[in-house]
Amino acid sequence: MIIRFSLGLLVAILAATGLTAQQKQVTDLPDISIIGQFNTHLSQTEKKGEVSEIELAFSHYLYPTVKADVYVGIHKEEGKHTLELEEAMVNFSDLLAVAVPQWETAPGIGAIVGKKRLGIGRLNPLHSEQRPFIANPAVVTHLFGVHGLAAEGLQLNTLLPLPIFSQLELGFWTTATHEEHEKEHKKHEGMEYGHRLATARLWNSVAVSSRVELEWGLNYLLGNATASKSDAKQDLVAVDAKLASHARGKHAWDVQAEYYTVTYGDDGQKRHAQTGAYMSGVYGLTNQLKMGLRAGYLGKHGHEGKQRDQVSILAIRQLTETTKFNVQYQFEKDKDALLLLQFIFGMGPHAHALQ
Amino acid sequence: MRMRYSSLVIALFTTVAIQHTAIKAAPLTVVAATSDLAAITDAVVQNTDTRIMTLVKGPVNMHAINPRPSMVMHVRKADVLIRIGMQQDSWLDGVIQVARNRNVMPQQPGYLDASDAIEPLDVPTHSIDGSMGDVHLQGNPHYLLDPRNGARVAAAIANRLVVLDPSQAAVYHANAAQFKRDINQRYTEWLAFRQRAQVGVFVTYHSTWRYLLHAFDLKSLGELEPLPGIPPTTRHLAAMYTKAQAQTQPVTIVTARYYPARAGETYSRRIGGKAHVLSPTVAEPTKAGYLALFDTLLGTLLP
Repeated sequence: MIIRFSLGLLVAILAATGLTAQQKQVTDLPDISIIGQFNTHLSQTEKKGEVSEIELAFSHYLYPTVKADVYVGIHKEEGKHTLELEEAMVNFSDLLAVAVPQWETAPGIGAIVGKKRLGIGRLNPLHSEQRPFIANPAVVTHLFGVHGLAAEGLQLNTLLPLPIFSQLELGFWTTATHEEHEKEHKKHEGMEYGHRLATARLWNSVAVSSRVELEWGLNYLLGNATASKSDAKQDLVAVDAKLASHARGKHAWDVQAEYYTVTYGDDGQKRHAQTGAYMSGVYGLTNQLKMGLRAGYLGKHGHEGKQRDQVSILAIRQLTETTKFNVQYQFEKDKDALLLLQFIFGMGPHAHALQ
Repeated sequence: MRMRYSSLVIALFTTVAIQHTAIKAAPLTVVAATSDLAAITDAVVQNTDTRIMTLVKGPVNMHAINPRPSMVMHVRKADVLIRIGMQQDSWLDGVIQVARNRNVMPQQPGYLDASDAIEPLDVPTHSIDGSMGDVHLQGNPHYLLDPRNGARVAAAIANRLVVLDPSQAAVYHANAAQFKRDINQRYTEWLAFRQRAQVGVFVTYHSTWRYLLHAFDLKSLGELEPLPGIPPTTRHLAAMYTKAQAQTQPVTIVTARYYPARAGETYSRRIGGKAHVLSPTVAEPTKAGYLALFDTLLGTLLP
């Protein structure tokens, strides 16, 4: 469903937020924050600058271990602003603590219910302002769309009883079927996910030294999980890894890579495999300035199409914790070079979960 | 048959008794967000079997911390989690959520926001926004640089440990009281040292040292940052230069180790003052380390 963005609505919310701060009263209002993105897109064939997204985030504890998070995005699509419910979920940090409070030794099982960006790989769960680069690599955009793949359902999380951090995440989802989603998939002609989805991710991490940590994830997504014909299903397997220094700022660095292999058929055709990957590195030259480099590819789907090879250079000028300029220059074989400029700002106590 | 039942009952009772003893005897694990909090905790848990783990070691800008999954493993094992609070370690919220440790969830006895024990400085008296820089809504969070706040936090930690481990209540209370006496004695000595020293005025890169200057009645001319979290600008440095020129006392520039040193060094050369790059954090997360922090700072700043 597309809802025309009402400027009045935004003004009203902004006014309400400001009023809350000024009143200095004890309230039980949710934390409200606003994140804006101004993007400029320059290539030989296209030159545009726009307010590409305003995200409103509402966060509130409902119960000591139960938190509700709602993210509403106002995107600019083909010249029109559209309002989209990006995520709306209730996060039970410890489901059994709520269901059986007397069970003191219950295993900690977390649950997320609602609409959520699917926890597959490192980039899809991130909101656009959290991404390390302005534009995602070709493989991620192809598999999950420009705005990322979100669906409605349930995810259960549990930490495995191992000496290292190892969290198992299992999800059962129904894809969002609003026009925006369908249109987006038609536009990028990427992988389409039908009906029910099942996801699994094993997220692991180990401290390599007192200042460096290695994370890796094993991911699986089964699309159209309830279809009777196997050709109607989609299989996605991904491996991701990240090696990073702890602190941000000067001399901070991280290296991140993801590899995807998917098997799917177009419009009920026989299924074919497709692979894609990227590797990126970001280094902090100063406390405020970071540089990044990313290379990636998206392979052919079976024998169709051409392999896409991309290289991107990134510069980030951090003004505050929530405000930054990004510049990304992207080269792609047989395509125009692309210059992306982005200004991201945040207002309010916005904080995303550890992921 | 009856004998067999009796043996079973005795065995069960023994098992339960052993388990109970084991549970009671299990030492507490305290997870401290920073080395400074770990040092103060060390003062409170002396002569007990309570264990301390630290999430962020050494001098690090707390705004620049990336929460890591390995932190989850520490928080997961914690009986008590002690945090700085005042939005200084808000990254810890995500770690607590993933750790799913009921002991240390907010509002639980094992969750301690140390800032609740102190009287904060620089609490905004009106609405704040980004035009004022990175102002903390609840005040300046560098409160452990006033040693008296260290004693207050130690008392709060002791009170919390007593709830969770009443068997060692007397030790925790005695340790916190001894730490307070040690702090008071050293504070008197530090004040006497301050009186004897040739004290000038101070310019700091950021308001990191606000509590230290306040505790020892040291005069600040201001910060090199025009606003909290905003890098020094030429115009602001020129204004600070004019301020320094008007001083008859020597001007000393202090920069925390995790901030750029160059601005302070350049400024000090211009005004003919001394520049120091210092760690505002304990070198060792121990009781002695916390006291030594002030010996080092005052010894450097008050020649």
